[in-house]
Amino acid sequence: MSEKIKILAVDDEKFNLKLITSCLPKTTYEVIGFTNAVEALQAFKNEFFDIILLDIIMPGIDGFELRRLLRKISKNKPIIFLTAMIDDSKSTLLNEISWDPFTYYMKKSFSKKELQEKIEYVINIYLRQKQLSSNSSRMESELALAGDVQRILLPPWCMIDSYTVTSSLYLPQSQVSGDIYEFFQLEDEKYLLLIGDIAGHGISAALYMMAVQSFIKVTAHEKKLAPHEFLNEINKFFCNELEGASYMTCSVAIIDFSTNHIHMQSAGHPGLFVCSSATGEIINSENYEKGGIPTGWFSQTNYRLEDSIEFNFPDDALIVGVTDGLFDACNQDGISLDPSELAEIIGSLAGSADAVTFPHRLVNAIMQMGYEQLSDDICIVALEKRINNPNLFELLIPPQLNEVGKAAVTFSQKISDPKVAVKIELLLHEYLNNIILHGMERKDSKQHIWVSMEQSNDKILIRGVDRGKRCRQEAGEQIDTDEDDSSFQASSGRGLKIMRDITSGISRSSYCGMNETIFTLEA
Amino acid sequence: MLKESIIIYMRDILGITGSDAEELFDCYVETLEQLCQKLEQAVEQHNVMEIRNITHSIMGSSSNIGANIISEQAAAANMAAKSHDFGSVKSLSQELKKYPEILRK
Repeated sequence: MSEKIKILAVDDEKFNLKLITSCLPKTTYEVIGFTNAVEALQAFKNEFFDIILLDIIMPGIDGFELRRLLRKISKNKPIIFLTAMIDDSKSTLLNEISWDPFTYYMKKSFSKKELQEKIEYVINIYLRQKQLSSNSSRMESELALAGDVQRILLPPWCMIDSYTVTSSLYLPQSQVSGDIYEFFQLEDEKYLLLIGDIAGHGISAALYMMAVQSFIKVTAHEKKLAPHEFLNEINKFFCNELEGASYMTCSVAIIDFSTNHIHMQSAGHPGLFVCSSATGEIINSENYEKGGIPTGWFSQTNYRLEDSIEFNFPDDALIVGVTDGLFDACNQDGISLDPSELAEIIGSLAGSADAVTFPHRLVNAIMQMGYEQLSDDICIVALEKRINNPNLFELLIPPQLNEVGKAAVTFSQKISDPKVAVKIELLLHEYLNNIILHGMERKDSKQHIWVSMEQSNDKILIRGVDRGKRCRQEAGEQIDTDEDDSSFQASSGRGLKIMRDITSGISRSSYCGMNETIFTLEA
Repeated sequence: MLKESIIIYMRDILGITGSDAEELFDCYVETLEQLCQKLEQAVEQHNVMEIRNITHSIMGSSSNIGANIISEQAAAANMAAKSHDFGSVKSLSQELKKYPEILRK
């Protein structure tokens, strides 16, 4: 605001402008008056005013029309209509004033005191609203930043190493989430998986999540703990370090891929689903719902070895962890997803979806079944043992253009036939360049593109999975024309044609923020 | 009497005195005179819209300065114009026309 309150006054009568100026002392107010709307509008475009005083009945452009024109320049500059106008039976005056939240009204005649008080009252409201709006914008920025920090702390959406393939879907309900998961190697073929949900929402839950994430990483690497011991450490952390200010439900598992053995324990959280990819059967169906007390509730809680679960799993097992936000998914009738229903969906999907695509395909399947209303944070993790298959080669490619060449050559070197190898190299060049240039909005280090190549006697299947812009196809739809998918267009428009010429078929599918592309080539 | 009541109004309600009050008063009288001349023309033309706009302006200005009797007569002329009662409008406009001279005395 200026030092003096600067007022734009518009009235077709010079007397009324003079009256306003006489009522407002020059020490505090600067009144710029106009008898016509056109000049007033021009002045408003070129100068700053704190407030506008408008007459209503004026020849040509009246006060209401002038306000409409002023609002094209400023949506919220306060306006006071000064008028002797009496409202008609249709409440024209009331309606014209009330639709705009920054319009006020004052009857002529007014006293000097009334006019000054009204102006100061209106300006104070305006300044308070401006402050609130500024605070709100700042909070939005801080939330967005907190969301970015959370994403940095979380594991990448897809990870592959010598023993495992893991994929995750992290869907905060707003910009930040209280859901947490961690997956990392403890030693050799032994891994830790933790998935949990910190109480509450918003910034506080997100901050606790970040603190717990750091604690888990340090504790897991420093100490060799069984699941129940891990839960006891987490419980102490919540009760002592966080002084009982929050709590977390979670499931912890130690998975040994050398012996195909899982040792897990739950603290008030859904357990892991362990399914056979061949049969869709849930191996631990008797105990995936086994609960426990959330960590952080009581300092005296003692998680015991005898409460944990241990069992073996087959090589083709798919291990899935979910947070309970999935059980809050509702259909149009307000009915939420039942745990047994979820288990059925997971089991049936396990037969057709591998770990890489499973989390996104699971949410997609749930929404297709009508459970579209997601009211809580959701986190899904899927992992499987990496089986030694000489015909299968897979790679995670960073979304950087300078990585494309390297990746394309690496794949082509796996092919013995030089003609086919060249095709593979060219195909991957086009595909990866198009996805990175046109499909990826975020290109940070966690947005890897997963690519696999599987050879059989007569054909080669190349699968690419990215988390770029949604492709337009229905699941598995074949791409026939250049216009079918804009994210497949090279700047010259030839990219898709080149890929079609090399391959005998291309299909694209999109599942809840993940795109899967399958190329088929003759071997 | 009317002039005195206006001056008292300016002093007590508007808080305007001295040369500012004189200037404002003179501006009002000049405005009133101009509006009354326009009103006379509008009445001759039986231009209801114009009559109503002008009498509305006289109402506003007059009530702002405490010239309530003028404001009320302008309001009456405004209502008469709305009813197309040009006889009443004419007589009221002729009454209004006298005030600038009265105020200058």
